[in-house]
Amino acid sequence: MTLHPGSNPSLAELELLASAIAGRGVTLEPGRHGVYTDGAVIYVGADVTAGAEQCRHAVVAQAVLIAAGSLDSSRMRRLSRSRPGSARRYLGLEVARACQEMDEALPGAFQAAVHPYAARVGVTGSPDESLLRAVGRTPLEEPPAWFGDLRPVAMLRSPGADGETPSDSELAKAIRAATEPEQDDEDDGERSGMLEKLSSPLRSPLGSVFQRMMGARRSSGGEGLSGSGVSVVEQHTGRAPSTARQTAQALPPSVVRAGGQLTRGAIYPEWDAGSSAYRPRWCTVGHFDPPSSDDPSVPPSGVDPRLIRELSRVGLTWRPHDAEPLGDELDLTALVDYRVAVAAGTSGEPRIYRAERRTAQELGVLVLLDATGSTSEQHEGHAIFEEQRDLAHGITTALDQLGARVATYAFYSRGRGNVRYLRCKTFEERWGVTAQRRLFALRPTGFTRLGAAIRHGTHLLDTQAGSQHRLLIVVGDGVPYDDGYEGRYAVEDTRRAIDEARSSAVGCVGLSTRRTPGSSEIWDREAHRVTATTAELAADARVLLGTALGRAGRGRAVHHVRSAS
Amino acid sequence: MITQSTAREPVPLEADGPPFYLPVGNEVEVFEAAWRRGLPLMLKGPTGCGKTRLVEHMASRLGRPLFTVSCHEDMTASDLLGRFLLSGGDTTWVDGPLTQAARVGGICYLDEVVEARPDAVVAIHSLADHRRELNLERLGGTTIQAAPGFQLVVSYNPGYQSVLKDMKPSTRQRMVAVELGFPTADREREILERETDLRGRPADELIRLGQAVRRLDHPGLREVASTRTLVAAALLVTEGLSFTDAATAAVAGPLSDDPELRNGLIAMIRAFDPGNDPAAEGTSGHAGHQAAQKTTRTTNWIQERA
Repeated sequence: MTLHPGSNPSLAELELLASAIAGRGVTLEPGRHGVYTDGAVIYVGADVTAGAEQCRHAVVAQAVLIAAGSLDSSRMRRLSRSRPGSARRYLGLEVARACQEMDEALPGAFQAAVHPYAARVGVTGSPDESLLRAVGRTPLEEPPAWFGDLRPVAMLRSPGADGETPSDSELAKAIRAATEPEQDDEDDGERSGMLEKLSSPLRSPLGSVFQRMMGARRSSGGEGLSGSGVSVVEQHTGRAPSTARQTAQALPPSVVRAGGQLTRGAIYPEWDAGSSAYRPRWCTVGHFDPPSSDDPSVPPSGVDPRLIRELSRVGLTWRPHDAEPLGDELDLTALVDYRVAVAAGTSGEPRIYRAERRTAQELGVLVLLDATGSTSEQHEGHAIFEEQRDLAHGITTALDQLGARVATYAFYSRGRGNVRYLRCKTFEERWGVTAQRRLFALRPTGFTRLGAAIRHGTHLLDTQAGSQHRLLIVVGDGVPYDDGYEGRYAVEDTRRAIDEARSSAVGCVGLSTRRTPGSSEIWDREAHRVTATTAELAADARVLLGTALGRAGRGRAVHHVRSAS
Repeated sequence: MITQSTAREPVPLEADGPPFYLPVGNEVEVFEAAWRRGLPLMLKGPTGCGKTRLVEHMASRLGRPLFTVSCHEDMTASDLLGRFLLSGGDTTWVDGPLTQAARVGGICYLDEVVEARPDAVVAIHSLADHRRELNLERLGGTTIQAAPGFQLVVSYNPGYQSVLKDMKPSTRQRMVAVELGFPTADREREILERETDLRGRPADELIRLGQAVRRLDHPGLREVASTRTLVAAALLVTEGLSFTDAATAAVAGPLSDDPELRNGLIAMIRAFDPGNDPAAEGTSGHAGHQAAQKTTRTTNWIQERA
């Protein structure tokens, strides 16, 4: 019997193998038939038994193609115009070539299986040579069926494959389409290119099976939402969750399609103030890396010592101290030292106790930078975005030096199906040159669906910060605006998201570098500051952040289970 | 009365040559040059890449006693320098490992030095610069000049995010740094053979598995399959375990507790298991053949548990 791959866990298990061989995060999805890839996803057809060795070999072969750079768009374009059979011959030659090149990291069984074919056709030296031979007139043996397929057209239609970014007109269409009723996706790989790009969350029957599977087994590959203690709540419920707390949690980390690209992310409801109800599964937030730029200059990481000093007093918790003059327990080492001192004739102060003092910092902070188009405006010769970026940089640097858990993301949105979280630094990464370069490569673009961005920030803090005190710092001009997201509706949703954060014990503050009319509607006076520089922020960072933590702490159970980290 | 004594004997020198160490780069030359010139050394590298083995090898090769300290966050300067103990009505001074090494001209190795609190690490400053001396304030301000042959070696893993994360710049710049990585596939293969006597297909596939796992960029994986874990897996194979069982126990288990990630790793291991490859039996050596037979007999306990 052939198992349906969507219901077979062994397909999911192969994802790690495929990612290891491809050298980057690769997803496996059930397809209609055959095994093929679009550069980011490997589709395994329903006619392939997921557990079988041939299936594993086929997945490895496709991952090898991704690793070897065989799938670039110019060659795919050429193959799509060539006579039938060229693509499979190219596939065979490239697998054989890559197999030789990557010898050290491929399973021996796979190599042994490829070897007879490679020996018969001869190994090429480059993708171009493979292409020439594949489209040439000289007869050439096609690879065995288990190599899987190569579908140049599917490759070209996949927006994620070659790092292509969709054009503005495509985006406009996608935004419009995102608000229309969902289409049923019949074929995962070969839908028309536009449908691919506009689809918001996966809604096909196969997709939802897959998504439940992904959700239920927590995250794997790509941007990490691992370590999540969030219970998986049925996503397809039509009712709005009853409480804000529930809302913030009803989000299994999963694979989502944001703006047509598969990535890690989550789907969030949105608050509709008009009907006083949540719109379930409304916004898709996906993780992306900022576009790499040639040489974004990273300024020297000078830090404001005053800011560090102020921040060091935020989010403190109790820690045992040795050699204290007062305390509940004896410090034996100190006691022996004291006895020695007495015996030696010099009696000092008997600091012989252990006591808890509030000195240890237990702080996790997510700095969320507004990288939306509105911040690109110039103000007295300075782009607001650059001021905000420098402020976010200063805060991250200070927190990193303090040893706090800190993550930094930027965000923008293009409609509810495409809210983008751009990674600068995750909680686990070091605030090194690579991470800082990502921050400085950011260019403002798109719109501001602030509510979804805050909900996702809360979620990341909840699942990844692993600290007792959690803080979300939004650096931006504070004007929410997106397609179908403006005015009262947007303000109310954003305020709701902030309330949800607080009820999840995540403190939430907003920082702007310029006074803008909209921000006071969203942030109350206690939780918002206009600070052009880190020096200005240092002046009352302790009050601002301390108050935010205090407000978040209220109404939360005292007992806090520290998540693994 | 105050007496001085040495609490611990230094590590005895190996009778039959230095412990095996296969260099991945010029680390042996740098180590030796630094030792000759009395420069402190900082070894950076991922867990299980051979930092400790390198130090043991060099200590033996240079004929110096080795004093190893595994640093932890409760370690104080006294743990390094020494302290008074009460014995009967008297107090006795006991040298710490750093003081002992300085007295006898040994190599003092502070393993995972970033785990120690900064105030404890500051104790090494005066030894680590041109002064090469140790001030024992508690011992009436005694100053010990480091004996010839003394060297300070610290190691840490730059990948870890500890709260302290980093050594103070003032400590770092007193050191000469050597960066270690995992060996290339060929060298790792040689290490595996020397350490475990495992040869043939299973050894090849273990090396390949290691290379493949190191290509993963997965947030749930805090470490990758190190040379040490591969050696452990190879040892289990030589004890008669099947390839999959051995690699699951030695590689997949230690890497992650996440059940999903574990299953992914186990699926990877199966892909590399030479016993799963009946076609290759003819071409492989006897070891591969044996493993193939064993795998068919062994039921997979991981699967049963899941």
